[in-house]
Amino acid sequence: MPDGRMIHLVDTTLRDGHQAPGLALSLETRETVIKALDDLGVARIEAVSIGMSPVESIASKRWRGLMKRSKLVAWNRLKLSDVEGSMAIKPDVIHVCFSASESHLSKKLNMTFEKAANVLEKCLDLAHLNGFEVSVGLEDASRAGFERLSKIRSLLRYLKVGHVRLSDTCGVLTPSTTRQLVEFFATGHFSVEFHAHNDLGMANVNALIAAQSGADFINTSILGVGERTGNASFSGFLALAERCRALAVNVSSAQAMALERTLREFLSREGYMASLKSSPGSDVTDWLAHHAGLQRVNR
Amino acid sequence: MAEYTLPKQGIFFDTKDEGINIEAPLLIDATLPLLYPRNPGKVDELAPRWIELMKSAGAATVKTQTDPVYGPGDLTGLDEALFSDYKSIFKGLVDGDYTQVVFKNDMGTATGLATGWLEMGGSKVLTSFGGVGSLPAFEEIRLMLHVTGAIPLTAPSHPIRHLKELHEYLSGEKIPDFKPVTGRGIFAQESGVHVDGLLKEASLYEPFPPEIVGARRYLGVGLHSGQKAILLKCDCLELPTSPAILKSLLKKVKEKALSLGRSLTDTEFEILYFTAGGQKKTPKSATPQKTRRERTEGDDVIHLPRGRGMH
Repeated sequence: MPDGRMIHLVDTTLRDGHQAPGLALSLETRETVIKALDDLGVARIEAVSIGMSPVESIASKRWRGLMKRSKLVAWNRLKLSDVEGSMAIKPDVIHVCFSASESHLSKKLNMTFEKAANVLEKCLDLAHLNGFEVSVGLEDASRAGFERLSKIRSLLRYLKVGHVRLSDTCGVLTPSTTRQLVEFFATGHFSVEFHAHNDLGMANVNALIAAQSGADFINTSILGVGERTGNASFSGFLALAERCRALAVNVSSAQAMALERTLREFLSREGYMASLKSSPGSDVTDWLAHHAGLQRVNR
Repeated sequence: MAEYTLPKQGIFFDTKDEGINIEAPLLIDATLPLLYPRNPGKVDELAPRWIELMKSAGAATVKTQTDPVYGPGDLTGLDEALFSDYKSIFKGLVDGDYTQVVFKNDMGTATGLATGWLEMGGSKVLTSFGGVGSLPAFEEIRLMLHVTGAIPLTAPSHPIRHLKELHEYLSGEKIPDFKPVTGRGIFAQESGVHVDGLLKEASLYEPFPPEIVGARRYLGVGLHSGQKAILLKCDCLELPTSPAILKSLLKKVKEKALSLGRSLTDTEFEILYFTAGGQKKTPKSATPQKTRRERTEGDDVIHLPRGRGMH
C-alpha cells in the first residue's frame, strides 16, 4: 500500500464536464459512467445539477442506487429552491455554490455579501436538518482576493462548514497562487477540495500542487472535458499524483486511461465547432459588442 | 471597445512577500527550427513574418530556422522537480545563476513548470508556439503573463491569432478546437449559468477577453441551455419570442438534444421554434434597436437583460 496522504477524487464529468458546449449524454451513457467510476472507487461523483429536464430528474433518482462505493453529489446554486429540488433526488452530498469574488456576487447574483451569507446559512440549515452531508463551493475563489477570502473563511467557520471546494473558475491560477489559496483554507481546519480549469494549460499541474498543498479532494473529469478548455483530467491528474511519493490515490492512471478510451466516442466534440461556425446565429461576438455599446450609450 | 473591468486576475496574495514574483521574463521562441524539418520551403519563405509577429506578441528572442533549438548551456531533466519540492530546487538554480532551463511536456506539465520557474525568479524560458517539440506553449505562457498582470497584452493587431494561422500553415496541423488560448471553441458557451453570466458581464466566465487573442464568442443551444440562452439565440436569428414560445421552445430544445445526443444546429433550432408556435422571421432591421425590441408580440415581447456584456 502506498504510504502517502490519500487523495480522494471527485468526478465532475456529468456536471461541469457535461456542460461543455456540444455534449448531451444519453441517460444510459450517464449510468454507464456512474457505474464505471463507482467500480473504480472514485470517492464522489457529481452528477446532479440544476436545470435538468423532468426526464433527467426522474432518472437521476436511480443513480444513488447504482453506487456501491461512491457518494452522489448534487450541485446547487445559492438558492433554497435548488436545494429543495436536489433533496428530492436523495444524493449523499448537497453542494452549494457560493460566489466568492465581488464581481460574481454583485454582477451575477446581484447580492451583497451579507445577503449571500444569509441565503447560504438557510441552504445549509435545510440540508443539515434533512440529514444531508454538505459541501460549499467557492466559485471564482481565484479572483476573490485575500480580504474577501478571509471573510469567507470566517463565515464558513461560523456556519460549521467542514468541506470547502476552491474553484479556479476561470483557470487563472498558477502553481504558486494555487498553493497559497489551498494552504489558506487547509490550515483553517477545512477539508479542502480543488477544482481546476485549463484556460492557461495548467489544470493538471495546479491540481497536483493543490493536493501537495493540503487539498484532500481533487476534481477531475474524464478526458478533462468541461467548459471552455476543460478541467483537470482524470488520467492526467492521476498520472502525476501516482508519481508523487507524498500522495496516495486509489485509482491508477492506467485504469483511468482505460475508462477514457471506452468513453472517448461519447465525449467527443469533433465537428462541433465546424457546425457552430457554419451557423450564422452562433457567432455572438458582434451581437454582444453591439448591444453592450448600446447600453453604454443609454447610460 | 469596452474597457476591461475586472480587477487583477490570478492574484490571490501579494506573492512578493514570499519572494515569488514574475518580472518581465524573457520568452525565447524556438518554433521555426522545430518546424523547419517538416516544411523547409514554407518556413524559409515565411520566417520573416513569423519573427515579426512573435516580436509583436512579446517574444524577446526568436530563433531562426537555422538556429539550434537548444543551447550548449541548457539545463534539462528538471521536470521531475514537480514531484518534490520544486520551489527549493528552482530557487537554488536561480540563486546559482542558472538561466538556461528547458522544460519538456512529456507529462503535460511544461507550461506549469515554466510558470513555476518564472515565479521563483527564473528570468527566461524556452517556448514554442502550440508546444511543438514538447516545449512549453508560448501562447499559454504569454497569456499567463497577461492575466497575472506581469506583462499585459494589448496588441490590437492580434499577433496570437495570426501566429496561430501561420503555425497551422507551416506545420500542416490544425490546432485542436479546445486548446488553451488558441482553440476556436474556447469562447463557445451553451449552459444556462454561463450564458446568463456572459450577458451580465462577459468577464465572469472568461479568463481574458477573446479580442486579445483574436477569438470569437459562439453560442450553442442544447441540453444545458437556459431561457436566456434560448432568448439570445432567437435574438441573433431575429426570431420574435413570447414567454409561451420561450417555455415551449426550451423544453423542446432539451428533449431534442437528449434524443440526438448532441447540441442543435441553427436549422434544427429554427424548426423547433416554428413547432413551438413561433412566427416567421421579421425582415432584417436596419437599426439594432429594432432587432432588439420592436418585435411583433406587443406587450408580450420579452427582452434580454442588458448587462455590461463585454469586459
